[in-house]
Amino acid sequence: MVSRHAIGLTVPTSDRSRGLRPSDAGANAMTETRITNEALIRSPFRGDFRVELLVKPGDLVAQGQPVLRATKAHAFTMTAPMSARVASVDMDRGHRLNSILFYYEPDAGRHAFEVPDSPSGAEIWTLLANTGLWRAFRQRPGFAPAFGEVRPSAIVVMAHDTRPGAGCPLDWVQERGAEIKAGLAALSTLTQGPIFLVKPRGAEIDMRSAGGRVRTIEAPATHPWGLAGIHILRHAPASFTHPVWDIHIEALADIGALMRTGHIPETRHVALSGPGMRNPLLLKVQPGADIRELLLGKVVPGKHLVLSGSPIDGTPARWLSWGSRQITVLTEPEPAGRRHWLRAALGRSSRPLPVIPTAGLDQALGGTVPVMPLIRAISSGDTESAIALGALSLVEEDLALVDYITQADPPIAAQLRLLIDQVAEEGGI
Amino acid sequence: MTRGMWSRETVALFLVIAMLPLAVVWLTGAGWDGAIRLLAALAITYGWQLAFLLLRAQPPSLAGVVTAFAIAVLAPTGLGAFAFVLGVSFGVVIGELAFGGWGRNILHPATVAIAFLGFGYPAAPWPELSILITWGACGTLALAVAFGLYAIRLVAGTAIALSLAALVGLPVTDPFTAPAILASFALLVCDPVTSANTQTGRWMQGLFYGALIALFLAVWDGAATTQLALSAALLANLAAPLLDEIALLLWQATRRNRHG
Repeated sequence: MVSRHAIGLTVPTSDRSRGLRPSDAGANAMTETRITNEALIRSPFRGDFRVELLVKPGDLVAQGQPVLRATKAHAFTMTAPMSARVASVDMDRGHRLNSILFYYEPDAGRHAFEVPDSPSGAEIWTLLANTGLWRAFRQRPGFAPAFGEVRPSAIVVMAHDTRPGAGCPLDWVQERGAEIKAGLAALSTLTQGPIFLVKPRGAEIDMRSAGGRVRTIEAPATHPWGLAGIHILRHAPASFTHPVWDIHIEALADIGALMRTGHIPETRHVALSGPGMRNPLLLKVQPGADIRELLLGKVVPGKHLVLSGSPIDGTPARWLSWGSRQITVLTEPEPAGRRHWLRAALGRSSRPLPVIPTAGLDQALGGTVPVMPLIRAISSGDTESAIALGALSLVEEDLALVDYITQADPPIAAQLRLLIDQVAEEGGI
Repeated sequence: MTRGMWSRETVALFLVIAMLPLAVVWLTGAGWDGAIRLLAALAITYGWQLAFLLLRAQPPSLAGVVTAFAIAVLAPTGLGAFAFVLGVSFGVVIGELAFGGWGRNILHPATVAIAFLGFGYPAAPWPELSILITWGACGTLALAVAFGLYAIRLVAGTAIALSLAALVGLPVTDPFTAPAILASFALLVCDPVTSANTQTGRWMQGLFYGALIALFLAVWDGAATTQLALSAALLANLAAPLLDEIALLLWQATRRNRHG
């Protein structure tokens, strides 16, 4: 469903609009704010993340206060998700971060950052690094958070999400026009290249004050058009020399809020849906929120499978991860009984079954790239062809639909990850 | 975490369902003779699939039904039992199972088997298909396109090429040629695995098949229509990887132009 939106970047806003104001209509009025008693932050990287702790267990921390910094680059910190007491720190040998657990303490206050007047690009990037907001940018190829001194050749802002059960990001930021404007201004200092804003077709965004740098892309409401990968593939292909970042519009508004007030917003939207929920919910929660507490009393009886992400690309999760804005609750299927020996013998093959091209598969990447040659290149490990077909612009979530349609085993998305890691290793990156 | 439905065997199942209109029309015309040929082809196909299951842990596929059916419809008749078994075995084993089963093959096993039988035993008469087969083939094409198994661009490309051929006066719509052209198109050329799988490649393959038919109709005197259509299907099948490669080069060239 595409509704009409007016973010109104040019509308003058009073001081009142800096905070989150409940509106009379729309999704915001129904959105409840929940701060769970526990929250957990994790390493944003898949591999090792060596850190230096700035707090120790038992310390009181204000919301947004840096709790650790990266050993490699001291400017890059991670911050407390809420005013809290540090409960426990889980680290591997060599100060490799696993997770930090916090208990909610309402009186610990909010941490304020000093925002320089009319900052330069380098200053803004340092500020984003200091405030932990660097994790909002996801870099391709590779799909790790943007880290270090790399600058993107383009940035894609996603104001659209078509994954089943995902909320409508434009509704969430309807009241935050001024913050988005500030966020876009900050963004334009981070790259020399173009900035793309992907929005649902038919949605109206007043872009008059956004400057000439921002190009809007209208995307249909059908999946997979709300994924960043397809738009990056089409408008700004990524490579190791030309990385491309994407960022969610709500995270962009958070950056704008930081630039205007010096505070990191306390909550973000998360859509909870799926057959395991009694009713779908839209909540505002802190990052790293305890999903079990959110779901207490909201799910149907029986066993559940809780996924961070959509039913197509989600992974089992206990805590809301930093970039996640969707929770799917599935009812866990009954464990299958033992298969008949003949069926088991027929089904157990020496090699996985091949993927057969169908009309659905042709549209699984929005028709921007020949899908079958890409799948064949990825699954045969042909890095050269895969790169020529744009594999470096894609990440697991983009190929999740291919895996969903074809039941490919092993998943093509996992094979793409191996391929990108291999290319990165060969290139010495 | 949830899985969709278009696994290899679902595709094969829907392909078998799409074959039903053609199968009904053909069986009413061919009678018991045809049914026995179909059963024999099925027995040989699944015999080899069983052998590959036991020896190489290669799971059998429902697509064997489509292969057997295509062979029963289009292969030359009046062969001895030995020749028939040899030809079908050659097609199924060399055309499909040796590559790793349905989905990894490059040529359609039925095309290989029929070509083997047709060109290996030139004295054997090619089957005469009745005009009703045309409607059965149209039904099959419509169903398979609706299921999303056959590429609409491939069908459209062929339709354009054949219409042009008809306009210049070639006997495309002749009741003796149309059934063979359409049956071999619906049974062999459109197969989702072995046909071109890029969008441009599909247009080119459709046009190529239609052009080959037109060429053979114009210059190949004395060929049976089934033989002529089968030859075109074989060549179009062989050309599919090349056409895909050309389509990919075109795609990359346009992207280089746009993004540098």
